[in-house]
Amino acid sequence: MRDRLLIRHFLRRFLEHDLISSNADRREILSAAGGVLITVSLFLSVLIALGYQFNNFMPPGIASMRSLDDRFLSVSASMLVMALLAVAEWDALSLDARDTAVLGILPIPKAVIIRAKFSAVALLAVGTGVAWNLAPTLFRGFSLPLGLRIGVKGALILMLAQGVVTFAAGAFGFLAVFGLRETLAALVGRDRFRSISAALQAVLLVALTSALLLLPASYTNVAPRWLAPGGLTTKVFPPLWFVGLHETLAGGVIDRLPRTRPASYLVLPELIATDLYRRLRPLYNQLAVYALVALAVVTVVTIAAWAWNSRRLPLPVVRRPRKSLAANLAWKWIVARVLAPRATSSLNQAGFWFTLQTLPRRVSHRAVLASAVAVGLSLMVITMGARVLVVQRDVASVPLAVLAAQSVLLASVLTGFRHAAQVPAEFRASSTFSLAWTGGTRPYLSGVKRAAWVALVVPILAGLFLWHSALLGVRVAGLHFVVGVAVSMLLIEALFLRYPRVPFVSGYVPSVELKSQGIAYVAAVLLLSFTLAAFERLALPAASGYLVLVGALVGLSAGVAAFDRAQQPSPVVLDLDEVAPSPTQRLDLAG
Amino acid sequence: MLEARHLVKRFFGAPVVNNVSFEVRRGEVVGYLGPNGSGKSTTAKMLTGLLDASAGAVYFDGRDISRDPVAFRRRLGYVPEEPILYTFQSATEYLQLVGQLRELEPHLLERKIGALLELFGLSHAANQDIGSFSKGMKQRVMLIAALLHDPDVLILDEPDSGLDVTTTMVLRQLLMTLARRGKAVLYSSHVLEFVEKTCDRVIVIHQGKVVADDTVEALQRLVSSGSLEEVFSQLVQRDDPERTASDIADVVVDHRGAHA
Repeated sequence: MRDRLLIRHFLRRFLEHDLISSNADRREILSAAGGVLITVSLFLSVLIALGYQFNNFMPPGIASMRSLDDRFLSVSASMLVMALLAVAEWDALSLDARDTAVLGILPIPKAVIIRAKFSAVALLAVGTGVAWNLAPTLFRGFSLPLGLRIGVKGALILMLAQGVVTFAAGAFGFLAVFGLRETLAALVGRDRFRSISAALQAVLLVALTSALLLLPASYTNVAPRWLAPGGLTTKVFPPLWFVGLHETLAGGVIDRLPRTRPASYLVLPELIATDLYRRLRPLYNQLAVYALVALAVVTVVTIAAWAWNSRRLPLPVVRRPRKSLAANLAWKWIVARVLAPRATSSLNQAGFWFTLQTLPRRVSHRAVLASAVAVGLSLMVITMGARVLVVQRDVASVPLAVLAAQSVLLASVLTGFRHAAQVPAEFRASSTFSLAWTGGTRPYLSGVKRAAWVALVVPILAGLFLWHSALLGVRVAGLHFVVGVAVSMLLIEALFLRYPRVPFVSGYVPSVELKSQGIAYVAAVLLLSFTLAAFERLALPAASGYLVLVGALVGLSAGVAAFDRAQQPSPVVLDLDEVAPSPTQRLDLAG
Repeated sequence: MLEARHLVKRFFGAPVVNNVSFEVRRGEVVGYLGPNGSGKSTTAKMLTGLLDASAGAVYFDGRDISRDPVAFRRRLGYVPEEPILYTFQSATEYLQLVGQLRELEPHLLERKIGALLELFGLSHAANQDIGSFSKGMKQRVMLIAALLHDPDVLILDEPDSGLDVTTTMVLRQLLMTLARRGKAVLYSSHVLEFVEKTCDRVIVIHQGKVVADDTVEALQRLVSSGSLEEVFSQLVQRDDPERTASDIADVVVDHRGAHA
């Protein structure tokens, strides 16, 4: 009874932390998260199954190859979704000082608290794993050409193998992140871990989200691309281990089917596919062993590290003031003297510093920015492909994708920044602003924009400049850098045009555009970025053309800024608790 | 200087503050007393303009504060009942933010922050996250934030909760000194001894209504009592504390019906 109560308490706490929701209804979050998981996996499963229904006469060899691709997709997706779950629940995976404060004073043995917490984490992972993998498992029997007669037993074997393998892959993904967190905390100690935890979480979020977004574009031709070459890449790529495990468990169901003569145009591909699939069989067995060993190792390491970290209940620690390293001091000096010199007003300084403090320190804001970076990087990789590393010194033949990458990444990150600005840093503390506000929205907003330059635009442009210098030479990279500055000016002005609230302070009002117009927005960003890149490629060889392009961009942003200034004056009194528009139309028929 | 005129606040139709009127004059420390839920904090929030009144108005220097709330807040210092601060900031960063929002001159702001942190005994923790502060430390940060801009009116809603003895004594002297220098101070508190020693005048509120508004001495004369505590008991207490305490103790030690 007591164990069950504690487990329920810890399960509820998973829905209460900042990254998922600071102030939302628990049932709403649960139903939304569960709905998204099941719907997306169901959609993918139906999509995969439908692909076979248009190829009913696909022979077994080709079907085996195609099946490898689908297994790679489902295994990778399960692994990434579960790893992202662990990243999202990052701090909630372990007991914290609040647990000690609430439960530590009750007459409950420490072992019971620790056991309950571990059970809650396990239940969270199992529940999510089941929700995500249920549809692909059930649809596995239908994800085959109708012409292949595998029988009920064969279908059941395939479903069972799919379920076991994708669930195991998900468990591996979850435990890899969980284990990394716990091992690091055990190695460096809780205090030191706290100082690197936020950065590590953000890096993982960017890497995993990018990988998830890139997955649909990279899951085809798994056998010739990833498995056939062998070597180190094949052996260190975790999704391939679990693909190997699947083929070891159930690969024979399709491969052992009797061969009949396919349509003439399929004879040669079928022979090649069958030969390749069977040639790789020893590799499947080897990879299956890797999968099992890796799963066992991460499980043991995670449990051991977690047990070690849980040997004492965490206490609230009064953190020592951070010691300023030389690099940190230098950065502060650069920010204060060079990047933020003599601000025009105190309000401008307030907006600038408050933004720089909020972005890295609040988990919700870090998460938004990390996701935006991940989307930007994914779009860059998808549009550039292998051209990302091709040195190209002839300006006229520089691929558009290379030039467009800068605008794509800037647009993605700055859009994320605008979204982050809509989320209050700590809504309860916003009365600080209500009391001290003097009505100067514009200088405050100007400080916020300046912080976006310092925290986001300058590092992005500097990083891209290095990459472009290597590909295009320093001169072209420098010219492209200036275009990036002009694009950033325009983007920042456009994104904050007629901005109605106080960034990082006003209550969050969900925007409907993100859900309904997200894809259209991405398409527009890509279209505009490539159009601009085309103009830039034309303009780069001639100084006059280049100056016209930069001048046009700067003029546009000045125009947007002037239009913004001409709009209604700043509100004098803050309305921080703006009510979100109702998602339904109220008819008020009651009179 | 600061005047509440027939203030009413209703929540879901029920009046929490009901026709409250009083004035806090320049050079005066006024104590605002009442039991839990009597409407003290609601009145304080209406006085600051953070909460709109259902009826009535607040006047500052004869002008309705709702006509120009920003001008009023420039001259107001407020310490809320609960110290809600940005926990991810250090004390210095928080105070810089408040000073910048109030458009204080940068050099003056830096000097004031340094000096006040030192005087309030927080200089050792100036660069620590506020999230790791004790309640008393947070309260001291709130006090500094309320004083940074040299306000003419101070509204303090139970500022002594969580403060140690020394800081409470300093606060008492500080309020009297500020009043002598022409500030108007409204001080809401449960600590009757503090109010008795500090305030020139006391307003007692009970169930949303003002039941007394006079000097401590006059109130003591009125009810023929020796201390403010007794005055307060006679004005707002309906139950016998001894009897209530005894009833509570009976419930605490009651084990009837428990499983053997």
